[in-house]
Amino acid sequence: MRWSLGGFRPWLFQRISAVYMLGFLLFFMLAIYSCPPTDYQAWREWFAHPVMWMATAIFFVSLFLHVWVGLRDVILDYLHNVPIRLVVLISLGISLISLTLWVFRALFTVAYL
Amino acid sequence: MNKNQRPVFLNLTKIRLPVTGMVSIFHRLSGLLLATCIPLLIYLFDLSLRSPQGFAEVQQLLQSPLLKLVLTVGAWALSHHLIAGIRFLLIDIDIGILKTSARRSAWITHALTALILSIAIVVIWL
Repeated sequence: MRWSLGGFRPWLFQRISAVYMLGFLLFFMLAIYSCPPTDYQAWREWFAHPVMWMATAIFFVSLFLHVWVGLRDVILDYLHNVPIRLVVLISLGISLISLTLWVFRALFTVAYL
Repeated sequence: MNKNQRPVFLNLTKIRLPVTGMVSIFHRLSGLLLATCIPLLIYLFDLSLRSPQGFAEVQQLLQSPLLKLVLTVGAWALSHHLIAGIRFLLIDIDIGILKTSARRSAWITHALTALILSIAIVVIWL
């Protein structure tokens, strides 16, 4: 994979993830509105369902990709000092990877426990 | 940077941004706000799925004024980011790229955001 901080691929990731998240959020809000999960059991069963589980997992992966591209653009626009830029970008990367692990631990707990 | 000595004018109170530029900078600002909300979102999501106690705790937390305030700001940021995002996607496929239609869709973005925000305020606070 070519290492680059710009170009067509991130741009495309940003758009595809945006469209997916838009669809997921509309579906999610409609579901919350039409049959609100009133207790823990119902809420858990939602995410234990394989389709919902997968859709939620893809949502969070899309979210993290989208945030990476978006915040990367902001950082490259406003931080011109190269070492500071590098430190901030690496911290962002580490934060996003940690958040991914955190949310996947929560999702796996629902699926397997 | 700073290779030349061009004058830079960055007095934010004097710059009058056109409505399309306003959508652009708010899109960036709302994206930044939404990104900072992610740890809280995942914390609540994780807690709500852990146990019936955790679920009840999240329900209670969502009633606290502080979180309601966060939700209100989040509702603004999310609605603006989504609507402006749809506008940018349409511009990507050459819909609304002329100056007049771009200005019109920028106004529509602000109006729809205001509408959704008012609905969200009613839902969150009443």
